Amino acid sequence: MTRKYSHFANEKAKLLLDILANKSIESEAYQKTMLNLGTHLGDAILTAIPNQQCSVYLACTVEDADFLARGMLSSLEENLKSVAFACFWNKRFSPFEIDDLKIAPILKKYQEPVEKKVNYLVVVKSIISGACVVRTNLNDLIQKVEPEKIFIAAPVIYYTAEEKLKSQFEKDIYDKFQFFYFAKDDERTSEGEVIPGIGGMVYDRLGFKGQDEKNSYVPELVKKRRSQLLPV
Amino acid sequence: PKSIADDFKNQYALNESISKTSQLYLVVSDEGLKNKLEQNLPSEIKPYSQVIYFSYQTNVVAFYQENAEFREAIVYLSAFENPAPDKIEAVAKAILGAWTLMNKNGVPLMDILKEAQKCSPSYIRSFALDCQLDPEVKNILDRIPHFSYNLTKGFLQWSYGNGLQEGAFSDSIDSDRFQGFQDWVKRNRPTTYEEIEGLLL
Repeated sequence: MTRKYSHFANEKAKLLLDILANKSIESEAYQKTMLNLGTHLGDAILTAIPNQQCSVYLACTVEDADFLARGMLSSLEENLKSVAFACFWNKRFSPFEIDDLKIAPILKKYQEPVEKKVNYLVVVKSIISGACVVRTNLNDLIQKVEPEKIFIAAPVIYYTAEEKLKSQFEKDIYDKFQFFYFAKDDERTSEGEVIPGIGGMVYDRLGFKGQDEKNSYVPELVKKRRSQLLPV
Repeated sequence: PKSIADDFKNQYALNESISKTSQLYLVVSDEGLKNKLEQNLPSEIKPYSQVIYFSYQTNVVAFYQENAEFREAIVYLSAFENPAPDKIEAVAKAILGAWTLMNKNGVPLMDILKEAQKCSPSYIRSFALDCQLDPEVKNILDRIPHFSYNLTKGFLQWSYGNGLQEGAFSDSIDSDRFQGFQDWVKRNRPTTYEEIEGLLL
């Protein structure tokens, strides 16, 4: 088991990753750690955005919205003129439990209106392993927006994730990819859990009782931003 | 050496000998080759032979984009008029999964589809006739501000805030789960989107 750190991983980020990997940490502390990692990841991304006038569209999944994505958003919004936001509720499964048929259809989504052409589309996820969810959501996003650059960000990725994701898109799309992560791991359990990864199944660690409960959740971030766009 | 034409001729003769009417197809993954084989199809076997082009792709969404016939079939089978990539993938993989596990001899196509529909979500259209919302449920949902919906091929597709949020109920309106949703709506009589959003999955 060999973990490789990227040049974005300072001592603070490494410490936060160690906290995640510690399975004895309770969900509240885990959530705070994800929030902090999000901020650090946002700071890393900002090093690649030259101009605060740039248009940025940040997309995440429902379980990451109030923690990792919220942290990233706070960093981006502090330094950029505006950031639009999208959130996806995916159901990840293999039809008839056939592993090769993994899918992650979008049950519902929250998508803020944005100009068709954006400078940066940022897709953030707590961990990128098989990349099924990121691929699905990215495919959906590029039906509506034309980004100049696509930043794919996660605290931890599996070592084959970058190539796997690139192989799912045409050259004109994957040429826009830039990956931002703190650690790259090269081991997975037979069930597909990355080791040490982010310390197990993220839904459980964040305090959700499995995928169904996660999908019933409406992030505070979505409620807050929605109320500003659409008064109740 | 024997040719493919010989094989086709012999196969047809064998089918005839056991009173089976048949058409024979040669499937190739190169369009140029398909055209060439078609042009040179021996007249002897032409009445019962065809060449079909089935392109090679590494993923089903790319195949859908490449192959118009397959695309039309998936669009027809899906619960959407214009399915998004993730819904195309769900329909295709649900069918592929059902096909993989089934006994492939003498299986009616409808049985394959029904098996595939057991996958949730499959986003395969409902074949039930007369898919209508309970009028009481319709009345309640119609009064929810900024909420709109339609029934397409037996599925409830909805939007909130003019597309700010959107989705589709995972099961068709003739399913037990959707009936449960309707029962909940009638019992609780929601007046806001916030009250129902956790159930619109």
